[in-house]
Amino acid sequence: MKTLVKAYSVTKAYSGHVALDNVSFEVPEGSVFGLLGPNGSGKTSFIRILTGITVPDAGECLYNGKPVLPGYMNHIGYLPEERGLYRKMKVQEQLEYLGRLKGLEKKEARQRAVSWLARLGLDSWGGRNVEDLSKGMQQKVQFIATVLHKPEFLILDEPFSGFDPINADMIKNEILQLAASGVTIMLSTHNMSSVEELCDHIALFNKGKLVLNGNVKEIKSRYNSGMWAISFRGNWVNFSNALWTGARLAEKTEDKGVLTGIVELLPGNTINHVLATLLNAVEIVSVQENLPSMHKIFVREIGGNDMLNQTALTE
Amino acid sequence: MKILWLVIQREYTTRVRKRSFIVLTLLGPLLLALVYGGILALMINESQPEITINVVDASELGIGRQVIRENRSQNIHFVQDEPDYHKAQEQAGAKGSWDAVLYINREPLNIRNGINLMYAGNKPPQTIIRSLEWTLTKVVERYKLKLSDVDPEAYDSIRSQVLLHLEPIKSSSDSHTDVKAIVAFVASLLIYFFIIMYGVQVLRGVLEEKTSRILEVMVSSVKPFQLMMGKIIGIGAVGLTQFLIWGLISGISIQLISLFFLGFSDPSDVAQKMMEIEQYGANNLSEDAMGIGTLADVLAGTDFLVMGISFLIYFIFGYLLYAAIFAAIGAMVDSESDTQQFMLPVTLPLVLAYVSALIVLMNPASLAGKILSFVPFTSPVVMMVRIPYGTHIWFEVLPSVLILLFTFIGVTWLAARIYRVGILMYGRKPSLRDVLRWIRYK
Repeated sequence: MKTLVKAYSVTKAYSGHVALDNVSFEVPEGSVFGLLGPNGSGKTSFIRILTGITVPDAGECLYNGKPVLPGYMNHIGYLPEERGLYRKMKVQEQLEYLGRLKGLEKKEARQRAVSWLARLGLDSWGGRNVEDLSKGMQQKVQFIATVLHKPEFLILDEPFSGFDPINADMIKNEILQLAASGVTIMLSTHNMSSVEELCDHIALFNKGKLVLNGNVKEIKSRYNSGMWAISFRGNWVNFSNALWTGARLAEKTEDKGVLTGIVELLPGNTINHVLATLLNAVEIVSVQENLPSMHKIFVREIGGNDMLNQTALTE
Repeated sequence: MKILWLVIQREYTTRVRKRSFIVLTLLGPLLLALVYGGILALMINESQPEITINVVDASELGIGRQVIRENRSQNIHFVQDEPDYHKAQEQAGAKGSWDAVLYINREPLNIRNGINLMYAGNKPPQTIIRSLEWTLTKVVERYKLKLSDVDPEAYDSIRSQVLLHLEPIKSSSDSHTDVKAIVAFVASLLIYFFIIMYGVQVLRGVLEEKTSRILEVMVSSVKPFQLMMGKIIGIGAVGLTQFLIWGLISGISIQLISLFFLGFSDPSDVAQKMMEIEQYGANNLSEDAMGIGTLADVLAGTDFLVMGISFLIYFIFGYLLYAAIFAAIGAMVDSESDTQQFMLPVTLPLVLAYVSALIVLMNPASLAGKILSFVPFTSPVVMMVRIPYGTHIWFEVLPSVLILLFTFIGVTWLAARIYRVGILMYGRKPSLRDVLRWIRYK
């Protein structure tokens, strides 16, 4: 897979505080790339360097193999976390203005704004001032402004904040469609369920350092510590006895007569070995490898102490 | 360049289309015209009060009679109904009687209390008193001439009033310095008000962008410098539009009002009419003495070219200089209430400039005025007033303009660096150290 963005030893400090410490990773073209980490871990600092708002103290970011140059932002759509619109400007005019700043011609900007407004159900609001719109509508307008110029690379910082679940799904679908059409998307978020749903690659930051990065499936299997979910009919005593020295029962659940045990294989054992003894004790319904959720990986990597500071980390 | 143009366009059109702008632009001059009309109407009415005076003459010199004969004012009516001055005073102010008593002493030539005016009720207006004094002076003069056996006609031909004609030695021959000084003062006032009014608008505009959180969206498409300059230029253009419309409407409505009230269409005629009203009965002062010539006459002088060009330069760069500072302040803080502490050091030099412009108007040689006309933060206002008094173009005006230009470049560079960082900073108000650090950021 071709690399679209390459961060190379990026370092940035603000008056003694190191915001980014020697960060290197790659964003494959066409991927949906999750930028994860607690508040103050360096995500926004990285995005600001990537968007040319600031420059790194050391290292560099390459876009399509070239250094970040003025003008390349016309190929990028950026939805910052701190976002807003001119409140006293009409929706349609505002979109045209922002589109033209990205290099669109007036006529084209107008046509695209009209069709996007219709697409997100805002067609009757184009002539209204932004301040007349609800917060959710304003967020939609903001999203349109980000994608109006058909960027090849989208940077979305907490794109779902401020949306109700229905509109969040709407935006999620738009993001998926853009991804399907080949747009590379960088998603910075605290929302782990959206990471599970959308991202195929991630980079996890903590205190300015890159903790983890790569393909989501690979990372998950790397964190797979031999956990399996085994559903069966029978009773817990027989199940536990049959596990005996092959595995340890970590968690028990029950649903409509079907019992599920999360088990951890003990060293020197395989799932086949454990199943062989279980087959004589209970009626097996299903067996599934239990991969850790991104949430769990996040918590494990960032650690308990940092989690106390994390309020936004919800699944 | 295209981006800057787009930003300027947005700043301009959104403001010019605002209802408040349209209302203020149209109503401003109408208000001004109303005030002007009101003043005129008041002056005209005020100048017509009538007074009836009972003359009591104890002098035996016949001065009372002569005063009545020489009276040229239609607003002063003399009577001699009550020869006793105690009784005359008692009756003064009563209905059907007189408003004041003119008492001519036994020794009317005594300067301190030879002739007295006792009035009932309000003090008579200055116009009446002047007129009365003029008549009395004439009568007393005639009496003294007779005593000295001087022919009144000869005296009239000898009596002269010398008007000192002022002219700088090294200058083109034109004699309208005072008029020019007033024009220059008005020009410097315009600069002062423009900077205050629209500089603050720049600050508000930046704050509005900051509080609406649009800046981070913007800086991914527009360089902060373009954003700042676009705002400053756009708002400057809005101000120019407003000033032009104000000038136009005010000019037209003042002409109309003058025509309506006075039957004159030239403002200098109006001024003259006012003077006549004020100094009723006095000799008509010549145009030259009053320093009011026709506008075309005044504008013909070569100094006016210098003044016009200087005005444009000081107007534009004075505004740009202050607007950049206001933009930086807007970027530093989060809310309008936080701006107060920064406003004082910025507005102080402006107020100082205004005051020194007044001082220069009274004393063109003022040292403070000289110094401040080189300080870039005060020169746009102060130098404007100094130019008509004969400043040296190459050694005074040009250096002052150059200092202003270089300061403008330096301040704009600094302001842009503060702006660039400040617009993305929220929360804590920055200290001076923070701001200095922002300037050094890469």
